[in-house]
Amino acid sequence: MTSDSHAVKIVIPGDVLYPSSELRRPGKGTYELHGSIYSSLAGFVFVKEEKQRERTIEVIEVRRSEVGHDHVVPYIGGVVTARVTSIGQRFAKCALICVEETPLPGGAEFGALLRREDIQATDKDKIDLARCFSPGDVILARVISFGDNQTSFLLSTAEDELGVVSAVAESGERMLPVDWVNMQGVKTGVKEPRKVARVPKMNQLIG
Amino acid sequence: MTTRDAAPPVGDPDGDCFVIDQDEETKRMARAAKDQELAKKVMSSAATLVRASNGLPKTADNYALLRSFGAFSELVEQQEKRVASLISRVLSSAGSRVRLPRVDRNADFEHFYDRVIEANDGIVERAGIVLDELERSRRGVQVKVPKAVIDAESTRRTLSGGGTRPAVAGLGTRLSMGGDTVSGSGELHTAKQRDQARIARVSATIVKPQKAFGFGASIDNSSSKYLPIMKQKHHAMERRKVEGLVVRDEDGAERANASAAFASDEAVEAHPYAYELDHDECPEEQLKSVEPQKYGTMESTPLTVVDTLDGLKKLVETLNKEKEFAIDLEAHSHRSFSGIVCLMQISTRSEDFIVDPFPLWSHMHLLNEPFSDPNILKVFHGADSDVIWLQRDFNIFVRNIFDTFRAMKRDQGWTKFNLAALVERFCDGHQLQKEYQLADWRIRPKFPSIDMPPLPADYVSYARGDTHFLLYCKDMLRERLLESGNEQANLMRAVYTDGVELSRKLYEKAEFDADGYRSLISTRKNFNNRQLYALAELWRWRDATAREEDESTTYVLPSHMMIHIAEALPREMQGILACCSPVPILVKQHLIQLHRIIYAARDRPLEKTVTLSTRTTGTQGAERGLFEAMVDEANRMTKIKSVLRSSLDFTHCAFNEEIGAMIKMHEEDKVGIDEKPVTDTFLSVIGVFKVEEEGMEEKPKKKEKKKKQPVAEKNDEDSITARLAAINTALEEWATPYERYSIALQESEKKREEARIAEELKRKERGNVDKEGRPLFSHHDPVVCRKPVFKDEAVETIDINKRKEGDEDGLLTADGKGLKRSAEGKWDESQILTKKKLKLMEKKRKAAADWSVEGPSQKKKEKTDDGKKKAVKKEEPQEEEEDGEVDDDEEEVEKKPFNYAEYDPKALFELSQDEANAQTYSPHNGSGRYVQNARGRGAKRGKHGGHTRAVGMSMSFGGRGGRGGGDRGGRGGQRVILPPQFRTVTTSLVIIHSIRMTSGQLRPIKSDMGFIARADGSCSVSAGKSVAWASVNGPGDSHPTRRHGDKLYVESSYRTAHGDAEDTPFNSLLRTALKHTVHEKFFPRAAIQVTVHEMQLDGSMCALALTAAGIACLDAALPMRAPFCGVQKNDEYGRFKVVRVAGELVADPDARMEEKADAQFDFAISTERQKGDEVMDA
Repeated sequence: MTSDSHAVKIVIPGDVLYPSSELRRPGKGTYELHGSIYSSLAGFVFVKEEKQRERTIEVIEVRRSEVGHDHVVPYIGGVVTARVTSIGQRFAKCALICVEETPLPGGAEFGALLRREDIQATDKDKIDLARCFSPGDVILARVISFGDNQTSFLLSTAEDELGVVSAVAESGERMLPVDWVNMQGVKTGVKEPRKVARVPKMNQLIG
Repeated sequence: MTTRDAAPPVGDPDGDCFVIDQDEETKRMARAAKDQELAKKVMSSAATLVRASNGLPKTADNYALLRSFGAFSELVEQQEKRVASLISRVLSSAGSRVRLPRVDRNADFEHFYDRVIEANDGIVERAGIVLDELERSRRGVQVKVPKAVIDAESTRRTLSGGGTRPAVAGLGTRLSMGGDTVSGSGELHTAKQRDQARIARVSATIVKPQKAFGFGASIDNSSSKYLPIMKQKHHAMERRKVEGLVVRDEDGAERANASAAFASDEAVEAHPYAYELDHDECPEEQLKSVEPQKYGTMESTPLTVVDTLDGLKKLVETLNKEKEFAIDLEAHSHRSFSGIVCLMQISTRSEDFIVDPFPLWSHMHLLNEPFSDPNILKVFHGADSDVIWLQRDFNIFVRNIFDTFRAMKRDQGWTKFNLAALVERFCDGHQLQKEYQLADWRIRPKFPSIDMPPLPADYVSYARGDTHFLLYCKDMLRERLLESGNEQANLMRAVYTDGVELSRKLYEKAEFDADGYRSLISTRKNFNNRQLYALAELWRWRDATAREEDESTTYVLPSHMMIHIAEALPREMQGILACCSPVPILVKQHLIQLHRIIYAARDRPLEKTVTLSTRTTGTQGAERGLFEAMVDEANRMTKIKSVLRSSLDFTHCAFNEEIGAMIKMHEEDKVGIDEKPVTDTFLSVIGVFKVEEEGMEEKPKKKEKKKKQPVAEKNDEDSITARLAAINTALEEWATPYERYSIALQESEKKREEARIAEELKRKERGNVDKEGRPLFSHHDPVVCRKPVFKDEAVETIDINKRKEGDEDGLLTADGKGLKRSAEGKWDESQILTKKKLKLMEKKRKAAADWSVEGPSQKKKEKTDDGKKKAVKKEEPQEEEEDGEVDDDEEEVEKKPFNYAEYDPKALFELSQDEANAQTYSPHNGSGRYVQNARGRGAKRGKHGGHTRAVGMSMSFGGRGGRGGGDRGGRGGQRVILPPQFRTVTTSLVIIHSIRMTSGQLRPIKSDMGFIARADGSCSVSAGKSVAWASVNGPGDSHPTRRHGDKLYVESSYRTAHGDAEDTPFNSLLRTALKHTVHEKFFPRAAIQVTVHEMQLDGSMCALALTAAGIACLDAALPMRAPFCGVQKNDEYGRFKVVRVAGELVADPDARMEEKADAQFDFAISTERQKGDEVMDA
């Protein structure tokens, strides 16, 4: 590859980047094959340092831009941000928005299911799903299974830190958490029951 | 516990026998009574002891507490010493000395305890022994108590299956095994056993009758086929000569003088009587019902032993006159390869004969005359082997057989079909002694030269019994069968047919099966190739030796020993001997040969058996996140993965100059890697590359993008950029739910850590005075004045007098809605309030709103309080509710009604002190409570605080959003320089171009990326007038019906100019290409959508479409192994089409030219420069 005045390393898939060694690790956008690290994306080469048990390891990455847009697929055990689309008796259908920190592309939305018994860790049969979620809520959940051909991903909010992050009341106004099982509309003050996630409030705008 | 007073019983110290004496008797009784009393006393005191010791305080119930008192511990120690000394005294008097333990050493006590248990066991054991002796002595049996408790290994030989069978039944097998000594284990009490032992000894040393009588020579163990040698064929049937049969050969010549072989159409059969048996018919008398003739008694029936030629001839005469006679044979198979007949028993109605074949071996064929007479009925029981034996040894063939076994099978009502059952039913319940079935029948009644004990009487009677009753039983069976049969005596005829079938049996020599050893180890043991070789060779050796020495293979080397040797592959000769117990004589003799075999086997190279090993999946650095771990795992090279079928995969070549060169280049050329590149669009930077041949200009594009420094080129763009930047920053500051989640996780982690540390601290403070770590109790402590811990000065102290109603403990605040500050510091509500009060508080809290509805200015005063409170709360390491918690004091603030007319979004939200001041949220100078490490959980946070933007707001992706806003010219004018990989395609086109072709035939290729904003990746490729567009979306969710498990699913749709094409070769090509290049495992259960539109048709559409799809995939940033492109394929070899139009060669023809072509020439191109004609797969 010729490098020019910009002195940037541009690669396309299949280009050899480095010979593999103990001090180098293939990161995102690269793969290792028979002693060399190849690129698997068309983009720029980034090298990052990483500390791992008293030694620094270079991480070779190839990215389209600084802020990488990785193609991610929800994986089992990962925490996802989802929006509840519909509520049933036994489960709630959700559409995944983000996987951990990467937003999913808007075109292909993954669908997921949140079953009634996966909402809480305790008292599983006494849960009323309508009092935990409502369509339009944004929730944090954990993917627990891929599901089979008929069903989609299965989610679970059976942890303190998982649950509803932001919700809209029936009247259409935003709601803020009151306690762990209730949210209250900001304008009307009407309370609605939700399973609230135990996450800190950090945003001044929405919550 | 025995005491010294208990004496062992009087009498023989061995306990052998017991002397009874009157005087002694009374004395003994008295002593016994005293003993009993003593025993009772001991028992009762033991019970008291147990009860008392159970009453002692145990560890569970405050033993530690009691122990902390001095008096108690002193007492305990004293008593410990006393008890230990008592125990050791008692034990020493019982015969085992135990050392006293030191009180303060725990290890000693354990040891002491063990010794006590040991001593107890010893005492009980001795008591048991003595009791046994008493028992025996009481019974008065003369029993010799063995001196040693464990017997020396008995020399009684075990059978091949392991274990010894009881003497009687096993004697036969023991006797017949020959070889080494038979043990006298000293327990042969019965005469029978003694006899058998004697016989066994004799048979062990017997000379083989084959040698003694000289007929061994006639036994042929070679592998040649068995041919019956008949000196004279008795009772041969006249063969009908076939008249007038002319044999014509293929060559047409008539053979008038046809040889005997062609004279008849009957084949030459091995069985000499085959023809006769075919034409034999059942004699009518045999089917008639006759009154059964009872047998005579054993005593009354004369028994003749035939062992001379004269006797034999007389026997033949006698038999020829009879109408029927019964026969049985006894054979021996251990000391002979194929077996020898040892005895023949014949019974007529009036006489019993026992024929000794050994002296008459070569003359036995004389018996063929009566045996093959079709009019004399021969009665057997179970003739299957008898017939064979007669043929094998004596060349005697039997015709007209009645097998009582088969008859029993055809009859009804039999459960057992052996001779004993038959005889028992019909012959008044006579029991045949069956022990001799397995005996060694080679022992002889009379020996000319060797002094031999006569055949024991029971042997003789057993032998007789086999045939003596047979004729009568045959009669009875015949009657039964005639009764139950029909008018044609079908059952009898069936029995006759059975007999004919038996007569037809022909003896076949046992052939050596070279692979026979495999069945030995089939069910078990996996032998490696060495062991298998050894086993095969041993098998061969065994067979050869057996044939040569005329011994059975079991005698030469039993199978289990052979397997053992093959398995062990012993290095020395002693090893071979050690594998066999007892060692067969022939093994000893041929030890060297065996050793050579084993040696050769050991020398053979060990062939490895292929086992599939599964790699353990390790995650290196789980802190980096599951997905990355998955990526790493998928990245790791495995043998299976290394077989890639993509032609761009160079692993199958030893060296590829391109890659090699690249590596070298990379080593030196490390410039520019570490710098963070510009965040321009991809294409803007790609404009760097020039391709001289194409003559394209570079046009660096500066698109509207978020930049740190505004672009200096265009001024009006400046403000727009700045504004966009501001919006971006504002939007970026929004913390995504996931970020909040990760922070919360960290917080809880920290809290747990702190809680743990506090717990440890508390524990240490509590009880560390005692140097052994025993818990301290407060009555030990010096009096300590413990001050209450207050964190906040401005806190209300609990005033008991000022109690409110409903708040007896003085814990609630003035309005009863929450805990007081002091209480809050230490206790949680749920801990100190009753349920009713909790509910009350809940209700009160819910009645109040979480926040006040004033604007921020009003709340300044309270804010400070809040701020401080919040600060207070932050420091306390407790599980806290966050903003959901009601602050009591807020209630007291006066409320201003909310003005809905003016919307101030900030009015509704609490701001902490810092926030109120700062008005902008920034994680870096925030509430101070949260983790400042913006790099949580492995997130890559760059310059912008690392917040990932939501999709719609992203501006930095490959030309999507930003490009839409910029001034992009028309598509046609933009030209993108292709990266070098594509250069190869174009250069190869150039090569062809240079091969004697008309110039300018290659159409210029143009392509454009990212022009479809909605798609993840898009590209348009045009070659001349042909244009194809491609767009790629994904990976995303797939349709439920098309979920393919854990691999990527490719949905491709190809839209031609005239309509959609579902199933084009393009689809399969694309799928193949994607399968080979995209890392499928990264996207389980996801799907990629590829859509290609043919915009303009002018030839080479498929290739263009593929190229477009390939570049679109690049644009969509799909992780791929290599880019792919399409080459116009006309057939499956991927040859480039060159057509000849009007005498001129044209490469890359368009549609018009394709139509008008005279001929087509196919060329193949590849990326490797050396060889120009290799196929490149698309």
